[in-house]
Amino acid sequence: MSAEMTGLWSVDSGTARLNGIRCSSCGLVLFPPQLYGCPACGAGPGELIPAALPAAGRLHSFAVVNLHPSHPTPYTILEVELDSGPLVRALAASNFDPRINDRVEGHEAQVDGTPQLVFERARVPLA
Amino acid sequence: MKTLAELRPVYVVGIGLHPYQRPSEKNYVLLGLTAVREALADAGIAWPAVQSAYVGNVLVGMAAGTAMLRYLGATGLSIAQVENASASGSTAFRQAVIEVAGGFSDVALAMGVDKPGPIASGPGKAGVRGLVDDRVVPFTHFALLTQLYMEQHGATPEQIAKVAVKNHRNGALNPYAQRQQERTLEEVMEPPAVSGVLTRLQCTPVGEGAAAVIVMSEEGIARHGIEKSRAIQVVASAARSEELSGTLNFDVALTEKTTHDAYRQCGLGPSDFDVVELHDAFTIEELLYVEAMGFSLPGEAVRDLEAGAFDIGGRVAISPSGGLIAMGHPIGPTGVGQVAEVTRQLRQEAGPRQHPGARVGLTHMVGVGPVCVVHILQRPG
Repeated sequence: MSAEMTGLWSVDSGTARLNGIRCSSCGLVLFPPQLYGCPACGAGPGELIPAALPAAGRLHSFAVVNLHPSHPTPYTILEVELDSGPLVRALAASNFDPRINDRVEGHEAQVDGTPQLVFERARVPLA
Repeated sequence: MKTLAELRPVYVVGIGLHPYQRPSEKNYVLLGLTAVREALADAGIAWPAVQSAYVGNVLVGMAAGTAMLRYLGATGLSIAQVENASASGSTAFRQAVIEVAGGFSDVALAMGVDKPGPIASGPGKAGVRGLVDDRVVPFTHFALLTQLYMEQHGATPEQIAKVAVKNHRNGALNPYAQRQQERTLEEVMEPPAVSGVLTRLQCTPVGEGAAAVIVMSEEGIARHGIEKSRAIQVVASAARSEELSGTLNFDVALTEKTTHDAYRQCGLGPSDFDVVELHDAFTIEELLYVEAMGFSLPGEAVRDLEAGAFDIGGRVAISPSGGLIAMGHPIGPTGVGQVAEVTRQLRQEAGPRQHPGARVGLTHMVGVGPVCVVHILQRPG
C-alpha cells in the first residue's frame, strides 16, 4: 500500500465497510486511513494494520449546508461515532431527517453523479 | 520547562493597528507600516531601538516581513516570519516575549499583517482524506458543534445568536473593527442560515489589516524612559498542540488545557479576570470556550451571556474589541490585535468600550492543526 490510500470504503454482499486502520501497538482505530504513523502512540507504518470498520454507529451531530463555493446545496453533513470508535463525517442520504443519537448505517449511493458512502437511520435497530 | 515567572519580566509598552477592513487595493506594506509606526509612537521610541521582530503572516507569503520592515530603516535587526494558522500573530507575540524574557533582546516587535488570498494548506497536502473533507468548510464544522451544544444543553438558536449581538455592540465602539454596526437579534438571525443554524453575522469576516505591539524588559523600559504606568506585564504564555480527545471537540479540549497551563504559570484563576479576547470566529465558539476556560459552568454560558455577565461592565468582558465576529479576523494580525486590545483595556484607555477598573486580561487563539496559544496580561500595582 502507498502512504496515500484511495478507496475509503468497500461493499461486500451489499454491506458497506470503511477502510480504516488499527494500530497493533496501542489498539487505536483510525479513519481515514494513513500509513505515516500512529497519532496516539507514535508506532510506525509497520504497526498500522488495515481494518474493515462496519459502517454503523450513533449520530453525534449534523448540519444542513446551504452555502458552498462548488458543491450544489443544500446537503446534510453527518458526524457519526462509529461502533469501532472513530468519529467520521459523511453525507446524509437524501431522505434522512437526522436526530442526534439516531442509530445510523451507511450504504453506497450516487451523489451528484459519483458514488458516495451515505448514512441514514438504521433499518434494523442494533443493540 | 520554564515559565515567565522564572525569567526576566516582560511588558507591552506600545500598541498600534491598521483598521481591519474588507479587502482593498491597499498594499500589505502600507497596512503593516501603519500599525508599526503607531506602536512606535505609542511607546515613544524610534525604530532603531527595536532589536528583533516577529511577523505573523499566513497569506502574503515568503519574506513578507522583511520586505515591509526595511521601509522603517534597514537597521540589521533580527526578523523572523511566523506561520501558525489563525494563531500566527499570537505565536509571533509569544516568540517576542520569550526572546525578551530570556535576555536575548530588551526591545522586540511582534506584529501581524495579512490580506485575503489563496491558502497553501499543509493538511490539504498530507494525502489523508476523509469522505467529505471538501464539503465541510469552517462554518459547517462549527455548525456541527452548534447542533451538538443545543442538543446537550437545551440552548436555542436565538440564545447562541446573542453572542453576535453583544460582539457587534462592542465592535460598534471600536474604530479598528471591520464591522462597526450594532445589530439586533433579528438582524443577526436573518435567513438564510449558511450552515445549520449559523447565519452570516454569526461568522467572522476575514478581511485585511495589521496589528503591532512592542515588548520590553525592565532594562529596556529604563533605557528608553518608558512611562511605567502604561507598561502592561505579560505574566503567562502558554502554547499547545493536539492531543487525541475522542469525540470531545479538539479546540475545546485544547483550550481547556492551554488556558489552565497559563493559569498555573501565574497563580491566577477564572475569577481574577476582567477582560478576555478569545477566538470567536463563530458564535458557538465563545460559549464553548468560556466554559472550557472556567468563566461559566458547563452548559451555563448562554445563561451567563443573557444575564450580561460577559458585557463590558459585566463580570468579565468577553471580546470588548468586538472579537473576531465584529472586529474581524485578518488571520496574521488577529492574535496581536487581541494583545493590543487587552493592553488598551488594562491601561484604562479604551474610551467608550472601557471595562471599568480592568486589571487582568487574557488572550486566546486556536488555529488549524489544531494549536492553541494563550497569554495573560496584568497591570502592575
